[in-house]
This record gives sequence, structure tokens and C-alpha cells, in this order.
Amino acid sequence: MELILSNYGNVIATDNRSGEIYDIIKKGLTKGESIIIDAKDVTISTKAARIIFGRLYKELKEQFNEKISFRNNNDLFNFSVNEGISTELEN
Amino acid sequence: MRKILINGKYNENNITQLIAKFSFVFDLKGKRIKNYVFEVNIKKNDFTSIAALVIYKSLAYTIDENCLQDPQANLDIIAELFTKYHLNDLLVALLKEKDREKLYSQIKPVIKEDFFIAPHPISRVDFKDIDAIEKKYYKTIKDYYSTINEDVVECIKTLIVEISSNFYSHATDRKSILMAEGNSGKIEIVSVDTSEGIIGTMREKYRSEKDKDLILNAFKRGVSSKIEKGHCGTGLWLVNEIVTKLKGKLILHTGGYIYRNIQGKVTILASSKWKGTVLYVKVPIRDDMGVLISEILTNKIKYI
Repeated sequence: MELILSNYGNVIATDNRSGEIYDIIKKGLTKGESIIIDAKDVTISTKAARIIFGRLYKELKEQFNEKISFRNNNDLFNFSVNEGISTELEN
Repeated sequence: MRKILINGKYNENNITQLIAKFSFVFDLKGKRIKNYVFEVNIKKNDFTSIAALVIYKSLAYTIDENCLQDPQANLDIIAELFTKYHLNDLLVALLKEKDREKLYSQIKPVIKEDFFIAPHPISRVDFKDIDAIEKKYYKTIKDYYSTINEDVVECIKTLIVEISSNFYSHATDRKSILMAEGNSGKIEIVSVDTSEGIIGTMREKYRSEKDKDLILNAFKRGVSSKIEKGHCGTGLWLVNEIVTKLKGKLILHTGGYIYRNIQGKVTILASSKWKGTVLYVKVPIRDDMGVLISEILTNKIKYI
């Protein structure tokens, strides 16, 4: 399953939108699908990244990178996702 | 009559002087003191976005919190002045004590010949509508800076997202306004509210710290009063790091303090009281923004 994040906004910063994206990815994972996240033109806040990818990493653990891959992800996007996962795991 | 005269030029360097003129209202909540008149005589060319938001939010606090009874003001001149930032209708509604809700949600950015101005309301209602920040900000900035490079757009988006998220998440004031103003050489972002401020919100978690330390801690990575509520404590740290790396300016007024990061040199001093937060960020537009910012984006562990 490919998820084009920009379909959900070029800026992902609200809890509602983050929760919506988390639910979509989770649904795909439940069906056994691997998820490709296309992050082209998307800026994500660290909080939104924690809500989406922090929670998913906590649930999937080492399977995270097997099940979820990214493309068109720039340095700022990667930074937010890594920060979101780190914070979620530490708290 | 007690006259509050506001004249001259107020920018990020001397905004403390403007804040000092309004500080008294924060001690008058509910008191409805009579016989005050505000006279604003600032030349339009000297009127800055930070001055506009400080004046607007001060007057809004004065009226909304019943600090003064029937305060007078030179409305025509003030309204004309605020046309510069497209906040004139909102200001007139405020001073005439008319409903501002609709006007507040309608403020929008404007691209002019050599610069853009983008005021944006930060309230929970507006922020829920992703189209608001998408269409009003992202498109304006992308259209304006697309000829420079994508890194510039990404950097500005990140600054705005982290600053607005911070105000949205921590402010109890439902009518914060964020203003971005830019040209080919620089971008300035100002956000002002009259909420609890950084000291008040940090105090919820870090009770024994001194006020100054609470402010300094707010800029540290991983420190937030709301880590348990999903925050990362990264926003202000990242904004401050970007300002340092790009040799810009970050000025924060909160409580009775002013925090300044001028090209990486940080000072914190006692200042006039502002109830809430005034945050000003200015960074130069540079072709190598992306490269410079990449240097600060280091994670403890890289998961992706």
C-alpha cells in the first residue's frame, strides 16, 4: 500500500490529522500489507510524527522498517520522525 | 484623562519600550478603570509587524478582560495604520466592541510586489481546518519563494509549523495571531498571545525552578511541560537552533523577561511585563539554508 502523505496536507501538525493518518496506516498493516510512505512536499511537526510514527514504532518494534518504508523524505522530515519515535520510546 | 501616547518606531530591537506602555493593563483585569485614552501616532513606514501585534493584543486584552471602562482611541488613524497588515477590520471591530469571530477567521496573507504579509489566526477552531494553514500559508510561501529553492520553502514551513504548533498547544488565549512577513532577503515571523506564557506553563511541571531557568530550559531539546501529552520538546529548540545556524534573531518576551538570541549570542534579562508570549524570529534567506540546517538535524538514534 502506498500512502501519499500530501493527500492529507502539505503540513501535518494537528492531532486530528495525525490520528487519521495513523489509523489509515494501521488498517493497512492489519491487512498484512507493507506501507510505502511518500513524503514529497510534506512538512510534519515533531508532535505529529510522534503520534503517527512513534506509536507505530512502539507497536511494531524491529519490524517497523520491514513494514514501513519512506520515499521523497527530506532531512527535516526524517528528523521529525526520528525525534517523534525517540520521544515516544522514552516516555 | 490619562493618555497613553504611542509614537515613534518600534521594531524587534526596542519592542520592550512598546510593551512597557501597555504592561499596566495586565494588572487591571476586571477593574474597569475610567478615563484612559490611547493615541497612536506611528508613521505607516515605521509600523512593524511586531508592533502591530503587540498593540492589537494589548488592546484586545484591555477590552476583553474589562481592564478599562470605555477607553478612547484615535480610531481613524489606528485603523488606517493597521491596513498595512490587513488587520484594520479586526481592529475596528475590537475597538467598537463588535463580534470579531468571523473577521478573525477571515484574515489572510497577501503577496505584494516585493514582499508578502501573512497573518494567521491560531485558534483551535481554525487550526482544525487544515486548509487554513495549507492554503493561507504554505501556498503563499511556496509561490513567493519557489524561484529561490525548495530548501528555503522547507525551512520557512518548519519554522512556522513549530512556532504555530507551540502557540496552539500551550496557549489558552484562543485568539493568538501569527504573522509572517518576508522578501527575497529575509523572513520575519511574529506570534503574540496573552496566555500564561512560558514561565506559567513550564511551572506546571518544573515547580522549583527559577523563572529565568524555566525560560532557558524551554529552549533545551527534549524539555516540555507536556511530554506526557504527546509533545517532543523539540519545537523551540529547533527554531532557536535554526536561528543560530542562519545567524538570525530570536526575541522572546514572556512574563517579566526578555530572551534574545542574536546571531547565536544568547542573553536573558528582566524586562517589562507581558502576560503571555511575544515571539519574534528573523532569518536571512540564503541559498545554502538547506545545507546549514541539515547540520543541526542530528538524532540520538536514527530509526529511519
